[in-house]
This record gives sequence, structure tokens and C-alpha cells, in this order.
Amino acid sequence: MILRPTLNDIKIIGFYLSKIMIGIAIAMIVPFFVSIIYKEWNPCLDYLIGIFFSLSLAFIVNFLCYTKKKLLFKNALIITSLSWLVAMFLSAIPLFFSNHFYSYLDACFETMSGFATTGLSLACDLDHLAMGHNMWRHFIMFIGGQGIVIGVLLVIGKTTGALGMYIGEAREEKILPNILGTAKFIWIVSIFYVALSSIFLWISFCKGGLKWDLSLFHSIWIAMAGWDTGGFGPQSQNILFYHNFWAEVIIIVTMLTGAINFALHYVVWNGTKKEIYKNIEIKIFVMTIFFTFFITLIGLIKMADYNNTLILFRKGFFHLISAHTGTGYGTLYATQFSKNWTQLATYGLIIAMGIGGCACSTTGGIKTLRIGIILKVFYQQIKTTISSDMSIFISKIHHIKNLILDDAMAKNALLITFCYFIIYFLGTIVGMFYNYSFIDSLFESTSAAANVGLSCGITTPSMPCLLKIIYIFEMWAGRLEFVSIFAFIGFFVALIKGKK
Amino acid sequence: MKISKQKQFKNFILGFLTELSFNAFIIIGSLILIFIVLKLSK
Repeated sequence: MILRPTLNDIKIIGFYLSKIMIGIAIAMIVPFFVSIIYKEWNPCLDYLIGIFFSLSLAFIVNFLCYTKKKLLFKNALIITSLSWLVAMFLSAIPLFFSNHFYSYLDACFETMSGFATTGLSLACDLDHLAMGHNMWRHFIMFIGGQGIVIGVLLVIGKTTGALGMYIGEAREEKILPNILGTAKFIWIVSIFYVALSSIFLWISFCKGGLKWDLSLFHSIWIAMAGWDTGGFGPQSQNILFYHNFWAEVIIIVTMLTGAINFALHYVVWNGTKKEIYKNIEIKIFVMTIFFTFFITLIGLIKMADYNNTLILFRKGFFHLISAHTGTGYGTLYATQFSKNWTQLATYGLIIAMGIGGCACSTTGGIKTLRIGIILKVFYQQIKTTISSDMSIFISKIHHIKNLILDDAMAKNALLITFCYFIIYFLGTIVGMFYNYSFIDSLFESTSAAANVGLSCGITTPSMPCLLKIIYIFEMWAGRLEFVSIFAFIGFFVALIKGKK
Repeated sequence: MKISKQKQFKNFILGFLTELSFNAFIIIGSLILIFIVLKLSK
């Protein structure tokens, strides 16, 4: 029997959403100060309006929904899914006022792309976007990578019900016994790698001829978006703008490190170095990188435009890592994928995008841990089928510790993988409805749903509104990995059909 | 068991270097793969 949510349930959800609204208002202070530093007075005003609106809404919701009731697990999942939508709508306000977006929907697309660490952009004339607005685009990507709700919880120091929100944001693994400690560790690792990557990028950009202050901001933004496997860039040409080999190598290292499981970072940083060679998801990650790169490489060599090792590394391998880690950084113009690349090379990228990086990292896609579990299940099934007697085989996987592969684990991996395939094809069908080719539609849809951000040219401000909404849904559902989306849908079904 | 700060720092540095070597392995592996496939295709 489905029970209708009570007024208390709605109050709890509203109360926690008001905290998220306050969190978004606080976050807007960062681009506000960047705008002040660069004397960009119009963007300053945009952020003041954003802060004022977010705080006003937060106080109204808090006043209406104030409660001291404990947060339940089912409500935590709904809060998570709603938080991402609320964050999208509020964060889009300053961007909409920037006059670089045709509509409020386009600004919402940009912020969802940022929070979900996708990197698809609908900004017009990106090269002349104010520093403050660029800071905001990259900062929301950094917040979204670690998790919006977890970030806010860390600031307000709230622990009750945090587990539900942590799981709702597609983080299944508890690295430390308490969620706040886990969230703190995630932020420490992220800040460490972003700082390190920023320093090296800063040096390489300065050597490349950019002014020191511009280099500093560009390096911080690219390090943030690279680590969080986001893919936003301050220039419309993305990484191609810099024409800098060493910057590309630093970005590859940042993207690869960002795609590693946070739990793995924890054990490796605490003395268990061998884990990186034994872990099933790292093994699958390495295998799929080389497998998909081999496919892409064959496709690229066939087209004969890239005929030496360096160019194949910079154009082929860079894009493969960008696709596989779900980053979306590019050293090519978007249309080159469909116009210049062979279909084989493009399919190599699509497979890499669909698979994604490690679980409990900032990447999107199916994740290599699930691929590893599914392969083990197949292997176990084949062994059972060909064995002459009715033997029962027990499979083990090594992920941080030895785990026995049980039915629940296999069912979960297969279900989430199936959901990813559904949304990959949902966007493909809608793309084909608007007369885009199958391969282009599949490329763009997989890129949105797996939170990658590489584009073959479909994502432009002039694309149909329905396609924009479908991609927003794909980015949202893909980032949260469906669990909290199921809870969200269930909540509305219970509101309508549930018994009192 | 409490680990000393010095040991913690040593573990962190070694862990960080391990992660860097993982990156180096993938980059060098890709260069070798490109080299082999280019040679075979000619």
C-alpha cells in the first residue's frame, strides 16, 4: 500500500531545501567578489539580485516549513533530487541577466550542465563573458562535482539524515565512519589536486604568453573543471585556444586523477599503495581506456589526416581520456567529430563516454565498477552453464577489500546500467525526431547523460526547446544515478494516488 | 592504533606518487599503442 506523504514530510523537505537556497546565496559571494576585483559593475548587480532572490525565497520557505522533526531516509532522497533543480533555477538568475543567454531555459541548461559536471554550453559569445560570470560557471561545476547537498551540509555542520543525501548524490561508499568526515575528505582531496593542477597550468599558460592574472584565473577554472571532470572552459574554443602541449598533458593527468574513486584515494594516501593495482575498477578502467583508444586510433589512422604520434596523442588520446573520464574538454571544433572523424573513431568515443570512470568519483556514465561486476556475473554464468554437475560457483571481486559477488550487487549493477542505456537512447530518439543523424544524436545524448560535455554540434542556442529539456533531464538523472530520481517520482505518485 | 604525523605524511607522499605513476603508465602505454598501430598500418 502506498501512503500519501504527510504535511510533516513536506515541511521537512521544504525546511532542508531552504538551507540549500541559503547555500546557493552564499556561493554567489565568490563571483560577486571576482566582479568587484575586475570592476565589472553590471555582473556585480546580477549577483546581488541572485543573492537577494535566493535569500528571500529561503526565508519564506523556512518560515512556512520550519520544523524540528528528524529527517527520514526517504525524505533525504527527495530533498537531494529537488535540491539539484532548485540550485539550477536559482543559479541561472545571474547568468540570465548577463545577456549571454537567449532565454532563461538556456541559462538553466548552463547551470544544470555545470552542477552535473557535464560541460555542454549554450552561452553566446563566451569569449566576452565577464570574469565574474566565468567564475560562477566554473565554481558551480566545482560544487556539483563534490555534491551540492553534501557541500551545504558541510558548511552548516548538519549530520542527521546526511547518509540519505550522500547516497542520493550517487555516492555509495562511506570512506570514513561518519558522513561529515567523508565529505571533508572528499573536499580535501579535491582542493589539493585543484591547487596542484592550477600551479602547473598557471606556469604553462604564462610561458604560453597569457597575462599573469588571466593565466591565474584560467588555470584555476580549468583545474576545477578538469578535476571535477566537468569540461567548462573560459573560451569558446575550449582547450584548443591555448595550443599548449604541456597544458594538455597536465589536463590529462588532472582528468585521470579526478576519475579515480575517492575511497581509493583514501586507502592509497593511507599506506595501502598496492590497492591501485589490485582494485577491480582500476583494472577495468585501464582495460577500457586501451580498448576504446584502440578503436578510436584505428578510425583516426584510416582517415589519414593524423599521421604522426604527437598529433594522434593530442587529438586522439586527449579526446578519448576527456570522453572516458566524462570531462568533455576538447582540442577540436565541435563539428569536426561529425564532419572529419570516421564513424569508427566516433563510436570509440561514444563507448568511452557511455562507460565513464570509477564509482564514487566526479565522473558520470555507467562506471567501471559496474562493468566489472557485470563481466564477473557473465563469467560466473558461463562457468555454471558449462560445468557438468550442479556446482555453485562463488565469485569474488576486489574493491578496497575482497567482496563476495552476491545477487543484490549484480542486480543493482544491471539495473543502473539498464537505466543508463534507456536515457542514452531517449535522447537519441528525440534527436532523430529533429532530423539529426543517428550517430550525432547518440553522441550528443550519451555526452549529456554520461555528464561528458563533448559536442558534435547539436548543442547550440538554436536547438529545439524539447531537446534542451531532455538534455537537462539526462544530465540531472545521469549525475544522480537514478536512485533519488526514482524516490522523486515515487513521491509525486504517492501524493496523487497514496492512501491517507 | 595511532599513526605518527611523520608516518602519515610519508604515506601521503608515497600514495600521491603511486597515483602519479598510474597516470604515467596510462600516458606511456597510449604512446606505445600509437607507435605500434602506426608502424603496423604503414
